[in-house]
Amino acid sequence: MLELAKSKKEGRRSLRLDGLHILYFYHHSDVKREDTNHADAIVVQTDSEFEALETLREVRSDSSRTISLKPVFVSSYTNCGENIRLLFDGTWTEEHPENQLQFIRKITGSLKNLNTEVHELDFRRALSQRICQYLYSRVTTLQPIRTRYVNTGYAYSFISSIFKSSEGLKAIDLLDEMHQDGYLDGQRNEIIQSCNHCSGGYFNYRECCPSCGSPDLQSSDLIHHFVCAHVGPEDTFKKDDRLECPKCDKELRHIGIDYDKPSSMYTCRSCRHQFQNATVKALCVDCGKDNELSMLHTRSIKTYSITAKGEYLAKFGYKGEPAQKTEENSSILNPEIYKLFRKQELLKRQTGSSSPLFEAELTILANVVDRFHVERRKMLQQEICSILTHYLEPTDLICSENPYSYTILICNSDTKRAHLTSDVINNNISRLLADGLDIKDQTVKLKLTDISDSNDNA
Amino acid sequence: MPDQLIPEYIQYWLAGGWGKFFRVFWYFAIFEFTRYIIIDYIIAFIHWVKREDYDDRYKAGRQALFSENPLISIIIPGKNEGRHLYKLTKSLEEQTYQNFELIIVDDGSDDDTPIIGQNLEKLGLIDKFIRNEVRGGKASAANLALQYATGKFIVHLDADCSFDRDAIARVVIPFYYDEKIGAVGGNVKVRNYQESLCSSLQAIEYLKTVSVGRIVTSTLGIYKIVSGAFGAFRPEILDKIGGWDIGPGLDGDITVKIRKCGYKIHFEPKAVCLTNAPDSFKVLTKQRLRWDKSIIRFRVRKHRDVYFPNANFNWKNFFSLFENVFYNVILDITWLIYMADILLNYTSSLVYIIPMNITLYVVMGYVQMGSIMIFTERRSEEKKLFKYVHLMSIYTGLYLRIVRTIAYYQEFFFKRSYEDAWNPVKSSSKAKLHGL
Repeated sequence: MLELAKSKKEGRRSLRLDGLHILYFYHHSDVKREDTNHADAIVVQTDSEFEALETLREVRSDSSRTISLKPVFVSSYTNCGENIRLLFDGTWTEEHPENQLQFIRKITGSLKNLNTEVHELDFRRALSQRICQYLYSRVTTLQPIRTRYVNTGYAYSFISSIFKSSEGLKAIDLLDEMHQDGYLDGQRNEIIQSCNHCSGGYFNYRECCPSCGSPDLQSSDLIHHFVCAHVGPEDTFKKDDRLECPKCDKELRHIGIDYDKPSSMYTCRSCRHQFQNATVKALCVDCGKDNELSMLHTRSIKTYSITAKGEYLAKFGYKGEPAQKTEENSSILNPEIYKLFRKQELLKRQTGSSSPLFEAELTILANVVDRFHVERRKMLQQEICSILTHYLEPTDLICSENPYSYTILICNSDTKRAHLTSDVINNNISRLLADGLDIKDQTVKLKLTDISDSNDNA
Repeated sequence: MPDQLIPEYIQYWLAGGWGKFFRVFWYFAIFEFTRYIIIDYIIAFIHWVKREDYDDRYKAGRQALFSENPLISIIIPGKNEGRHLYKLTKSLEEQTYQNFELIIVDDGSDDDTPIIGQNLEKLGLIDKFIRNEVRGGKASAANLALQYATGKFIVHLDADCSFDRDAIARVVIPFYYDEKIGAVGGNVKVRNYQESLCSSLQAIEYLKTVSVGRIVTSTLGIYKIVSGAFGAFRPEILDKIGGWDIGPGLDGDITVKIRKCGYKIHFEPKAVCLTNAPDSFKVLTKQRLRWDKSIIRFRVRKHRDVYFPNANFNWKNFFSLFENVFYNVILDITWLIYMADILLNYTSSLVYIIPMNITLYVVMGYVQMGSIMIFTERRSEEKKLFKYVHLMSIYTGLYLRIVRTIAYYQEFFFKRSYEDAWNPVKSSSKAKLHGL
């Protein structure tokens, strides 16, 4: 303890144990240390759970794979919950580090077999490969860990340290996507519901007025007086501690004999609306917006394990795989082919072709697309592509790598027609999102540029 | 043989002269002909003379209604009526007057009514759907709806009815004629008049007793029943009288209660509502036994005070109930006396009396149809009923009379209306205990 306290005061410490180089991090900025890259493992020893998680995030999200995949332990002296400890590769105890050392050797051994070449990959594909490498090197599964630190209420080791705590759903979506692509196997453990606005998973469920939405409700039993058939709220019958019928003034003495209570009625204290069936709404603790229960997004929480395909990805990368799966829609080009055609079209313009060349960048706002489950996103992407192909000429080209963005090359249209086409596309896709998803805000951005004279052949 | 009988039959009546004719058919001449022919045609004549006044009054009332545009609360209490609700909302969507709230009370239904009602409420086709888990009877369901009604006028409907496009407007317009009008009855006609002989006969009966009969009583100021299927009320009066009391026959009961408070009751023949009548005599018998028992229970027993001189005595109220009791109960007994008279004194002449009696009633039936044609707005449809008119003497003169007599007997001596399953036992037993 004394040695540790001293080292903490010094702010720097490393250990060499059985030939392994262990670094101690006390603050998330320690990840920037020069010797990080050469360490075999990292021990996080901080004052708070928050700082421990931030340090883990810094390590896991490091652009260098060798750093992000390093074994990271949390010190037994760090004050954090048991569930948080599960996000690390283990708990480091200096008294008996034998097991951990063996684990470190196993991980570093595995990592040496992996393809750590840096390819020009998009974030999702790069991260997918890293997840596979993490699982392969640890010979483990990704278990959902219940925690309040992630907005969905569930975290996974490695991946949840890369996404922000408010992006828990993105992590789940990526894992689902990998499951669908065959890199991971998934077994459902739990089902969660998430906010329609911010994907948060913490709700305050309340009975609300169906008219004004206020939760300020008063419930009252209805009383039916058998003799005179009068029915009314219980408080209209109350006279001191007795029940007296306001219609015939008779005293109601015995439930079942003189009267019964056939139902109850809510009264909204805000708008005085009276109703029997209150609307149950889920107030998102994170963003404060009310969700109708039917509008909540439902997601499965699974335990993921690596498949043979995932192991292949971990070891050899995306060699032999298409850059992007666009087989669902053959009219959509992948970026490499698109660039090739674009270059050809530009060259044609330089050698005397008269018609202008336009490029349109269509962007769907991320918060719209992120509402959907992976499968729905693909459906949305296909729907948008079918709208594009419907309005474009057969000679025009479309490139889309993800459901968020689409690049369109309009090759044989004059300026007026190109603008008209882009307006029609913009309107139709906006309407698709507005009608289908009931989104009133601006969700689509479309920028049309004349690139006829562009020298950019990239 | 028939060739001999016909001249003999004519000979018999010619020889007897008017004196004998009146002696034999005194019942017909005094009660039936006077009430259903003479008075009907006098009232028809009055309406014809005053038709322009009535038109002007209606136009002024209509303008007042549409200028003010008050909220009308349409209340529909019922049990297991879910299957009718969507059609009903669609019928109401067609109304010329649209500023209404629709309140439906499900009185402990044991079918899909709660699901249907709640869905229609979510879709905005019903403003308020109130579900009673425990059945309380129609009166309590109507009173519950009344609790949550906020309109200037209350319109009470049955769920299985449909309405002419201007029916809702027309049923509330009379409130603008006179502030003392406390309730307005709509004109209930039979929708399924072509379904069976039973429903065709009821269609004629409704035209006679509801359409024309109520025009007559309303004109005379003695109209005594606002039909539960379609009637409008001033809510402040309903509050004053405590709404509906336990049935069966609660629609007639509430009308008398309103009359006793000093308000007039108006019948609006052009506010037309169509309803399905029972299509079998078995169901009809059950329904009529229930209705007829209520005459004894309410008009003879509960509201007997209107017959006696007291501080609230009112001649119109007296005649209103007396006409009802007289033409149903007293004449029912009188008819038995008449039958005994004929059977005892004219036994040998029955072969001439019975055919003449039938002839008289058939002819009267067609003459009555003439008055219906004067008042009706659906002549071409109602002409289709002409072929059944000759059966009405058997239907009303025999069948309904027998049913009525049984009902009166059961109610008068055994108070059987309190055992009717139409009302829950918990309520009926209490009502019986308190003599209500």
